[in-house]
Amino acid sequence: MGELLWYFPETIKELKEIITTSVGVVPHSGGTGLLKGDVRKYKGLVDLGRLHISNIEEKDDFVEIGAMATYGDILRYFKDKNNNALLYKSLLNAASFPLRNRITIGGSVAYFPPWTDVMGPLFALSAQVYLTGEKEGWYSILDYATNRELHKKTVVLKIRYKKDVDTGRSAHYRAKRTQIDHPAFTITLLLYVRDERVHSASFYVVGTKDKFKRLNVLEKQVIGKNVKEIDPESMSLDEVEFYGKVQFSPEYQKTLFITEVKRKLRDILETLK
Amino acid sequence: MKGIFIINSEKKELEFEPHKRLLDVLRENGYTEVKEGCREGECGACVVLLDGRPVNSCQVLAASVMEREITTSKGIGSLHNPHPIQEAFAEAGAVQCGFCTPGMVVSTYALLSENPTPDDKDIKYALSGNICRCTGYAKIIKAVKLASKKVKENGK
Repeated sequence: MGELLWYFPETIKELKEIITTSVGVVPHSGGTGLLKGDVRKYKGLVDLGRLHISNIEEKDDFVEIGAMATYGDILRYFKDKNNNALLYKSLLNAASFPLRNRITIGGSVAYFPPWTDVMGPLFALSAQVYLTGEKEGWYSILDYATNRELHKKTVVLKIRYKKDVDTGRSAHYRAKRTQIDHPAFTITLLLYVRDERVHSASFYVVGTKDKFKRLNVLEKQVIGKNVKEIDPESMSLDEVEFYGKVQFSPEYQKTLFITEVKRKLRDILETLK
Repeated sequence: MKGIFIINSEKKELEFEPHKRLLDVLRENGYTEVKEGCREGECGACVVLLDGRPVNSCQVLAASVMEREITTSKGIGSLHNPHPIQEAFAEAGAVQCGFCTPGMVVSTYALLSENPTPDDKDIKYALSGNICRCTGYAKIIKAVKLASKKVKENGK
């Protein structure tokens, strides 16, 4: 292994130059994901800390979050503004208190570890990511998560979602053993009700065999229904497969998933009755 | 590589390997009050303030925080000039083996800086990243409440 090189771009132009011309370099945001392995395997790390991309703001119809915003920054932003925001609820117990001051949203999106608390909510919110590098522009988070081509020689600079998307009723569940445990999987439910009827829903589970899954079967059973007529207990669920993790066996995760999806859906419905 | 770090309000030029974690760089340069526990960001023994916010120094690559302000528990108060938070931990009997205490003190300092009068829920939340295997936490919570009172009286 050669000596690890650090790059400290101060402008997006410099960043783009490094990321598109250097071989074997990876972006470094908070670094918590990179430290799960030996960073010496990389030729270079490109630190994003001097680019000033941690701002969170409402811009036109969107909430826009800079890639270097930490979970702590996001929680502080929403605390007084809207503690019903899906990101606020889902990040409130993510990782641990000090780790939340280090884990960045951009790093989580780019690295997408199976235990992340942020991807389910971003899928549910139909978020978009802005990339720079060989590909420049806004991409849907679903495209970014599933198309590896979008990861090559690019860096996530910001994430956004439409403000009005976050006005639904939502719930987030983490399958964990203890408070500071990595969740084995997470469930995110977001639904919109008009005149007591569910007019749209967006349900995701992250941490499955296929990394994540949209719960289309369940969504179809609630859309169009009067909230008083929905009985989570009698609903059939999507086929979701899990792989064995340190925390739980695949079978246990499946049982937990079925129980908790229904429980969280019931919790949301209770607030509407 | 070499880099400038502002540690406990002092500018220090340190030499370190590019892959080193902040925890290791601090300890190798005499800041042994920063304890090494799990090295996975779960126990909180290595918590320091980075620009005023608590972080697990084992989860920070040192090169990424050059020129930034780092505060360890000794930067908050020392043996001969303890901070009211450190006095409170001693007075409340919140220290047994003492291994988690530097991290607890740093997290408490960060909490009281933002919220000078925390309730039990606030304290448990702010210290949720600091594990103590001796005390059972009751005396730690008591210490934080005592610290809140002392800080208010001392104006620190």
